[in-house]
Amino acid sequence: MAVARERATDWHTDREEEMSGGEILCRALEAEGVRLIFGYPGGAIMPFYDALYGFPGLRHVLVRHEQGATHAAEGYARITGEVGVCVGTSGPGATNMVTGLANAFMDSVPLVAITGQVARAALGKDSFQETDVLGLSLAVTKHSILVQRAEDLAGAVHEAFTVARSGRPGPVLLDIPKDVQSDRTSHVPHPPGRRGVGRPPVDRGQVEDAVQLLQRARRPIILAGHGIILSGGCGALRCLAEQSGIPVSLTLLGLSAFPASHPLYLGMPGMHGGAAVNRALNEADVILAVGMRFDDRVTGKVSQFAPQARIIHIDIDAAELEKVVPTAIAIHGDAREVLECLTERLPRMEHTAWVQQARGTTVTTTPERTEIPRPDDIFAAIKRATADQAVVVSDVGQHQMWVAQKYGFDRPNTHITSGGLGTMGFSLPAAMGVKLGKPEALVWVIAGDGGIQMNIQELATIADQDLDLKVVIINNGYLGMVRQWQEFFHGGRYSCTPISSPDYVLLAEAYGHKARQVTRADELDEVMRWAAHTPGCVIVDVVVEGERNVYPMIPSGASVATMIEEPED
Amino acid sequence: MHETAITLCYCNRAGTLDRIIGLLRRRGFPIGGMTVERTHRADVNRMTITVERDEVVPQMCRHLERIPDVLEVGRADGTLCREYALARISCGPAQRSEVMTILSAYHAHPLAIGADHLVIEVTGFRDHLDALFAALTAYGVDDVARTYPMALRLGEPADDTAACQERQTA
Repeated sequence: MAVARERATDWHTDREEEMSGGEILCRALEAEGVRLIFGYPGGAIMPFYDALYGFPGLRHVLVRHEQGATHAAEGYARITGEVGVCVGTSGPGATNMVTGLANAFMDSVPLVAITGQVARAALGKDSFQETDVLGLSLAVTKHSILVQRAEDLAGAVHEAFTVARSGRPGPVLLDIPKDVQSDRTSHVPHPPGRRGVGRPPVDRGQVEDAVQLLQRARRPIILAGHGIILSGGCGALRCLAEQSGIPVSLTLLGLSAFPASHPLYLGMPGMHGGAAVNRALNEADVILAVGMRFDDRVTGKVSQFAPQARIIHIDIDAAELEKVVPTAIAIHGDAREVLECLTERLPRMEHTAWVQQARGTTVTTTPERTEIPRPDDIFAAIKRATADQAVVVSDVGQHQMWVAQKYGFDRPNTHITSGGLGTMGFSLPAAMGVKLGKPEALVWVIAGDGGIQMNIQELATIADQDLDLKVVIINNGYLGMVRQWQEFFHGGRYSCTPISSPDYVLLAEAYGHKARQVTRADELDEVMRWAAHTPGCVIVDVVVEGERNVYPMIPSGASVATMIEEPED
Repeated sequence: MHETAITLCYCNRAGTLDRIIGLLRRRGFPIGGMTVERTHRADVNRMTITVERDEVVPQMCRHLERIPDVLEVGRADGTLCREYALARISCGPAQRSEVMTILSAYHAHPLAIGADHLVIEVTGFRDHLDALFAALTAYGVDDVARTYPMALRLGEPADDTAACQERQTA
């Protein structure tokens, strides 16, 4: 560690040394404060791996598939707020990383992905394991750099980190030909990339306009997204809501930015959002949308979204303003800063009757206990077993929506999922990054039986790293969300959605982990407690009802008027 | 159809042009055409993009500004837009003086004179070039290479030197 720290500050000196591109790369990563790299070696990245051997301060986690490396780096970035780093070789190594880059791009996660490339003389010749990765990356990264000379490497690394974390964060690709990694050159130490770049100054006039509009509002709603967590604005959001009395709805990636148990919390909006919050958005006269981007899963049919509302939209990415919905006031800025400015100027207000209406009447009848575990029972058992201290990493599908609707996140950044891209297989590798980024956290994966099988090879990485992860599989024997659509919109023709699973108990044992299967609701508490108290990776396979649906549901591209609610039996 | 031109300066690095064009395609902006121009700096290129619907220009500019290698983007002032064309006109010796009169009226110049044709060049607004080629149709316009507009914005030149150097040395 001392060695690493000494190296990390080398750029202050003017000492020039001759070293290889790989060593320059390692030094530059250290100078950026990188301590953890998720990767997989291969031919075109070997000189970097050779250099890495001499840098014990850079801990390398050998994943079992490059996609796992990208999601793990995302999990690390999302829990720490730092840039996640993943490495792979050229060709298939790099193409395997494309999904993770796309996921990070959609969800604004700062990543630097380093790929080896064939040597410069072999470029463009259809060489072994050659792919135009820079070309492939263009649509799924914030920026991509092909480094053409060893002497440009340090600058390129620092540029990549600056871009990845500036403004709206995102992934950056560094593609480095093999001979650039092995070339020796005199290394001119280089300052690390800047932080806090891309924060536009807040336009006070616009803030004043927003204050005026909010003061006149009778039925206002705050609609907050991932930008709150990214900007460290959870406290600022709470202050604003409490001062103004305006109720808060959180998008999928915004979940946990505001306490679910708070009397001003309305729930998640959109396709699988709460019925009451969707109706409230339909009635709202002012929407303060902050750090969110009006995804189609939130708006449904745009022309009928919040038809009475004047919208104030705050985003750090100017290109998001006016992209989907017309706004009354569009404020280009950092979510936290703008929220703080608004709170300073807003008087104390109350909207008691409106909040009551917007929250709707919650029926608090305790549903009959069933023998088959239901999502609510599973989440309640996890919460009890962890004293509600878990960081939940969910996958994609029905279980993800149940987690979003029902889990109830009270502490900031305790819900991590793949939002914009909806990448099945995200949760297990992402949870590795979360655990490595915050070792003291109780990290629980909640996944479906489809998604867990998509990156299940990472159970080996988890064993290598001895990670204390709890994996709960909500196993309904279907690709449940697709099956649900087939039931609603395709006449119940379950085309290719029944899916089998391995015996997860045997599988876990094969990887050296522990596992149990649960089939009855009354076993849940005991098994979740066992999982929580058993050190290491534990899998709990919960067999649930096959054809349970996620309600309510607004069909794709439709309005709140067509919402399908849970039928009463 | 109303067309707007926007100009864009960018650091000329591997993949930058790809990224700009890919963005315009991916987001479905209505692009009429584009030209790429050299600037006074070897490492900076300029691009003039002709947009078919003026109302998309602000959103398009905001998206282009997100590309790290893009140094500046903005709406071009119409008076500083020019197109350039090379054309091969059918024209025997008997018609040559008539054609030359037309060329001179439009400030166009012959570059090469063949037995049965002329190669000409012309610069000007879109309407100006349209009018010239309309006048030459009677003789036969055999082939044309005509750029979309290129433009220089009015006002202070952007000081992109620092930005570009910073980009390259990060």
